[in-house]
This record gives sequence, C-alpha cells and structure tokens, in this order.
Amino acid sequence: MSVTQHIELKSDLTELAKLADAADAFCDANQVPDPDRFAVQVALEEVATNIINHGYQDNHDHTFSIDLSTDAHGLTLVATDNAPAFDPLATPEVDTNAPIEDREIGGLGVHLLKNLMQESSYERRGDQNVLTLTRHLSSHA
Amino acid sequence: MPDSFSLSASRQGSVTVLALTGRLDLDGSREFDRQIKAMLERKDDRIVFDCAGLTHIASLGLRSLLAAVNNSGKSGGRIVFCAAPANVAQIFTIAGFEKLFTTYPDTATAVASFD
Repeated sequence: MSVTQHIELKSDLTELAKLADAADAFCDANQVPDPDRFAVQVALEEVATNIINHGYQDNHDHTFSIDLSTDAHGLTLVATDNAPAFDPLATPEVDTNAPIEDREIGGLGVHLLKNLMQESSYERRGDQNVLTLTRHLSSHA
Repeated sequence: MPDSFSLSASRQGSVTVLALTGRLDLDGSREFDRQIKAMLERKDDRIVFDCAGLTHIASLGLRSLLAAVNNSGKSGGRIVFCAAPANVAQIFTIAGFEKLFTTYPDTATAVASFD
C-alpha cells in the first residue's frame, strides 16, 4: 500500500512549520517509528531550506512541492521546484575529520541528507529540479 | 510550529549550565547565536550545553553549536555538551562532531569536568 501525500509550499521559510506538521501527520498515518521520523524531519527541513534560500534566493513569489510516500522500500520524499538547475547532491562533501578550526561551515546540510537517507537521486526534468530521497525504515529493514 | 526553541541558564559555581530546549532550527539558532555572543562577550565562557530537551536540530543549528565551541576556545573559554537524546546524538555523529565536542552523560559530570 502506498499513499502519496502532496504538500504545496510557498518559497518562504515560514512554510517550514507547515511542512513539519504535514510530515508529522503523514508519519502518524503511516506509523513511521521515531528514529526514522526524526531523520525524515531533519532531511525535509534541509531540502526545503535549500530550495528557498539557494534555489529561489529568498524570493518569496515561488512555490515548490514535496511528495511523501511509503512502500516496502521505505519512506520516499520527492522535492520538485522550478528554480535554476541545481543538483545539491553534487556539492562537495564536508570533511568530517577536519580539526575544529578548519571545519567548513557550509555543506553540512547535504552531508546530513546523504547520511540520513540511504538513496538519493537528482534529475532536471524540463524546467524542474526533482530531488528524490529514500530512507529505509527500521521496521522494514 | 510546536516546541519553539528556548534557552535557560543556571549557575553552578563558575560554570553556566545552559539548557537548550525545543527546535534548534533557523529561528532557534538565531536566538542561540544572539545569547551565546552576549555570554562570550562578558567572559561567561565556561559553559555546559545541556541538550536533554532538544527535539530537533537543523544544519544551521549544528553550525551555531560549532561556531560557539570555536569562539569560546579562541578566547580561552570551554564549552562541553551533555545529555543529548539519541536522535540528536546521531546527528552529531553524522556531522563528525563527536570528535570535536566533549560530551558527558549528564550535567553533574559535565560541570565536574571544569574542576
């Protein structure tokens, strides 16, 4: 059984609360256990913040969408926006072994995404960025 | 948004225990940065971050924590962490922070580490 929840969001950071609430409701409905729920919430916030701040450059006149679904594979989130082409997965990895004085401040968000979600892919589809991330759920492992 | 971020400070000898509660997200990290800056400016820089009440952390929050530890170290202060819930500890580990942060299981051992 896989029911997709479609969430439309404005390109405004105040929408993050709406996203978190919708994701919580989705996790409730699909009985997503806590460690996974937490990881998905962190990933969603990173994805949405990235789209709003970097994709749309804090211009609030745009919209984007997040689709959430679960299947035997895990929980999948698909983020779709029509900002300029940008593959966040292609940004350089942070060096998590660097000493504290040398730690880069950027790049952490994508590093979190790649580690919290076991599958990730990016596609430019027409004028849209489509980022797909899947977390293998503990109960499905 | 549920459980918005809050900070509360308590003094234990020469050490300040700062309880971080709620969501250390964009808004949370702004508030955090503001308070930490003020503390470090007045040399209130022997600090325990009590993370027991943290319910969510974003990369912005991680950046703020890292900057706080970095800035306190530059001026001769010291910041340690304690009581991070498993979810939050997992994020610290992914970020590689367990190698950068000193962590203790509870506030008592964290405070005692300053002696």
